[in-house]
Amino acid sequence: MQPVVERDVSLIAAELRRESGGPVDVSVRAVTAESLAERVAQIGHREGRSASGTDVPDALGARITVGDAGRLATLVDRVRQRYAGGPSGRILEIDDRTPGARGPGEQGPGGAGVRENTPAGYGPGARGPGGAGVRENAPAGYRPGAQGSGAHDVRITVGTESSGRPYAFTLWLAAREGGSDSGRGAERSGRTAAPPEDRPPAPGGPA
Amino acid sequence: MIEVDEFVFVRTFLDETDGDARALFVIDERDYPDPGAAWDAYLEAGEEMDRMRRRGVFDSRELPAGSPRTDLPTWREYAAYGGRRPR
Repeated sequence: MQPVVERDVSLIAAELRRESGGPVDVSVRAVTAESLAERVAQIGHREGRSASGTDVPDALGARITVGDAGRLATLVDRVRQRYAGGPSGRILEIDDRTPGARGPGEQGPGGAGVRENTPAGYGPGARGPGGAGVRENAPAGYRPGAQGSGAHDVRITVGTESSGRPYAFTLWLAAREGGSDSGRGAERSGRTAAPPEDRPPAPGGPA
Repeated sequence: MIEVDEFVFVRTFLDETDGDARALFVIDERDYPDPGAAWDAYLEAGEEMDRMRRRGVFDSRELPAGSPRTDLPTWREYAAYGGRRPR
């Protein structure tokens, strides 16, 4: 799956750079098999059921960071178009943490933003983060809120298939301006895996 | 030949086996003749980390080809020296 995700986000970033001329940062994170097995086991133990890799959509995650909220809106639209259906995958959930985001879905964590769940039809075990069910179509003409301060992050969970098996990965779309770090911190505190970060990994010596 | 205005993927392994994440080695596309060769090295490194039952994350970043390099060992160095940094 990772080659496909890297290719997709790289293409999206190249398009945005070409169109807007501004910086677009891309990073992708993938956990090792041991880490994935540990997280699956934790979910199974916590929820008392048989879990699988599809329960850990952030085991593979990509982050695309743009300069401002306006470019973030363009980015979100681009991602929605790409994953509207077809071989690239389909959107399972959108968690909009931008200020002023409102829609038919439930409130996101901390009361900020809005979470939309898109139709499942995706095979057994395909669930949104946090076990959220799948309820309704995401509305058309989506625009993340761009006013005020606070988080400027939109998290999109994409479901796809590889070799006939369902997979899910998470895209974190963020704008530098407007305190995107606040949303990321809240997200990190409640999840087993942190999203890809803006800054490079800290150097460390080998074992 | 990679042009300076191109972008390359630089992949860093962050080991979390003992708790806090610690960067162990890097796979930089600029060290390979083409992205496919770098990807093969990445797969090899991933398989080795899985075989060693390492908990951790591969962090891949798309960077301008002209950006500075990290001082971390490369995957080749790490593999050749058994995880010890060459001197």
